[in-house]
Amino acid sequence: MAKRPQNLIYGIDDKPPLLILFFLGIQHIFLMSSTLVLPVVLVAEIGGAFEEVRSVVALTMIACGVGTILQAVRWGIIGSGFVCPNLCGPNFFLSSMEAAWLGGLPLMRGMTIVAGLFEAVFSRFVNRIKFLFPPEITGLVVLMVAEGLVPLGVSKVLGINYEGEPIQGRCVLVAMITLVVMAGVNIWGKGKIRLYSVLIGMFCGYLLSFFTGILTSSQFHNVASSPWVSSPFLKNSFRLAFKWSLVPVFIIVSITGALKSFGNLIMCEKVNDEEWKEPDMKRIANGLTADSICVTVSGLLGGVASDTSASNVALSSASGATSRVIGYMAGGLFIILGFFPKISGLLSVMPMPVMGAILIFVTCFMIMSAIQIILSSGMDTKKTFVIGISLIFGLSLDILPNLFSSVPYFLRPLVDSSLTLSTVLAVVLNQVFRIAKVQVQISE
Amino acid sequence: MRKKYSLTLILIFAANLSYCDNEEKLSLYMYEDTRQLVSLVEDAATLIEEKGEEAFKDFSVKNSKWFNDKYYLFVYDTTAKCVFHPIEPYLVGQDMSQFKDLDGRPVIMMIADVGKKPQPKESGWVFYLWEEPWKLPIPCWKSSYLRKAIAPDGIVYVVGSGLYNMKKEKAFIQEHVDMAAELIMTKGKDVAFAKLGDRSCVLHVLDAYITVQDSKGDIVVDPAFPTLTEKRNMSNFVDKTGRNITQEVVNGLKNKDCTWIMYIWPSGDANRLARHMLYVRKIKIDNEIFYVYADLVPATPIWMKR
Repeated sequence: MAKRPQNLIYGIDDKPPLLILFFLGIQHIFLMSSTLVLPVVLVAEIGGAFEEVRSVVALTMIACGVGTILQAVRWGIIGSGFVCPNLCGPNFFLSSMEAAWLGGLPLMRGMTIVAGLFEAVFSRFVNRIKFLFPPEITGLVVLMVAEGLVPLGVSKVLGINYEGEPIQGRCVLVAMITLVVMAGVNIWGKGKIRLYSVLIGMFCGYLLSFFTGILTSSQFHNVASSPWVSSPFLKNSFRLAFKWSLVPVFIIVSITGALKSFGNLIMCEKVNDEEWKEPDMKRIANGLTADSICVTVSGLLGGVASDTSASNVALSSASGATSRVIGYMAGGLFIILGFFPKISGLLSVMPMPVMGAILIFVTCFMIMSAIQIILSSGMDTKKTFVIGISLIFGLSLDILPNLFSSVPYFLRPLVDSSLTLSTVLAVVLNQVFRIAKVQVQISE
Repeated sequence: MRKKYSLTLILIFAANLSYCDNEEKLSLYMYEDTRQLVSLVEDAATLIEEKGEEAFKDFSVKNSKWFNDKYYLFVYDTTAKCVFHPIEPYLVGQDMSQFKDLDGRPVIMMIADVGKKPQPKESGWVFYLWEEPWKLPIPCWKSSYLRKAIAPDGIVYVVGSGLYNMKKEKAFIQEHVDMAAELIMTKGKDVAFAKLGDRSCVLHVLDAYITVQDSKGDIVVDPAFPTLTEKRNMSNFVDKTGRNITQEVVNGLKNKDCTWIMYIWPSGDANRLARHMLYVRKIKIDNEIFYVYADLVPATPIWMKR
């Protein structure tokens, strides 16, 4: 039986009053919207018209909303019962773009469905591989998920989009003030004000962005020209295509996405249980099933694949509100907004420093949780090497990516993400040490 | 107190509005380093228009906005005489009209030409090989933004500043391909093709060389193999997704003169698939149709680098 942490204002089974619930939902959907620029970039990359961009963004929102609700429920084998929303993160982005390049949106949709179905199968076997994920390795997974947010967060804080660009002082200033406001409200905020630390920080960030010229009227041009209400479905929304050569790429991305969700769901368990010792694999498996349905629905509807959002989980932890009804509210609002292009467009115009500040704010919580999970297992020499070696090679991939440029083609998926590399290394090393230990015991 | 606040708010609003004006001017460019360079030169030109030569004193202050590790300004007159150069002061006063870069581009004349344009606030870009300051004498690509500035005493200056190994903007490619098309139309194909086939032609932007193809798919200006006697034929060129790009260009330009076409081709050190953008202009001269084009690989966002 989970012990409710004292710092939670609304625990998992609580039901906040409707108005508070609404604002908490809004806070989550702002964060979920922060990566809606990715489907925009993707459709623009393949030369899609503005109508297509709008449709893909809306359908991605609807799929993410469905996924968020399914994650919050506990229906048989579907849903973990946690607030662990889905968003269109960078995980699927490159492979989706490759598919869209090779065969347009129909191929991207088809391959997204393949990834979703694979995760669904994978989720049913997670229970059997529990021995591969002792607490120190699950902690490492959470740590690497958090580390994955660092490039996006820091580059947005510095106002840098492309290599070689100068640091934008005004972006740093706005991001720092936004971050200080969020942290300040979170540390010193009395009572329920802590619930809205991100919302309050965002409000200040938007205001400052306007006054410093970061947020300009031209950014709202497309928003202004969008209709208030519109169906996101276009004539060819449901066309699908398939390519065998892309299957390995999408399976790898699906596993990476599942590992990330694995880390996020462990974080959810940890946030909701003061005496958390080890992952509840059945619950995680059900969470992964919900995630897989979300990915499949994305493909079926015609949106870009999504995965669970680490930043939203950390937001729940930071605000002290983990009630699952917040998941229903956030998911429901996201689905509804998919039919209101003007409002969804407005949400996706998030100034760079505000996005950066939020990502840094939520990543702090994830990193500390990861360290706590790793240390909770009681470190010894074996674990030190398992975690140390995996972490060193995982981080080296992000620090010196060119080192791995000559890796043979068949090993490329392993070095495509630091999360995958460090997780695979940790799992393999842990098993090697276990076997070695057993052999030593037998020989003694 | 309230008055003070109102005044501050008005000033902030005014600053934001003026920024919006500037933003419109800079919206041509994708990359922030390009936008900052353009802003710097525009501000410098405004200062010259206000203070004349007095502005050069401000430009020579080390570690200032005008002169630091990243930027320095240079000023020439319309005869290509150097009037201000903080890095190479021995150039000041020299007639630089005969100066050419490693490939033979008349760099300073290209700069001075901006000042000869009719409008008072003319601007333009030049691309050339130049030595990077504080480094070994090795020439590398420099992209300079130039702005005509008329001082209060009526003297016309061209002020500029540049960046080394700058990312290629779509605007650069489009402008130079259009200029190449114009060159062919005005000078005739023989003269223009010979000029475009020359590596030092000022219309080649950084390493995006202008190529010309005829309606049969033969490359008639081939920057990769300029001395090839038998022309290469591109009519069956398919990208890595199997699309016939030449055919798409022909179809896309049936009812218009220019288009951007995207195609997928390996790029970079790891030879990964990358998006290439091809800007094509269709021209008709002596009853023959030609396609003039150049391409670029858009930069990858820094957080997606792998």
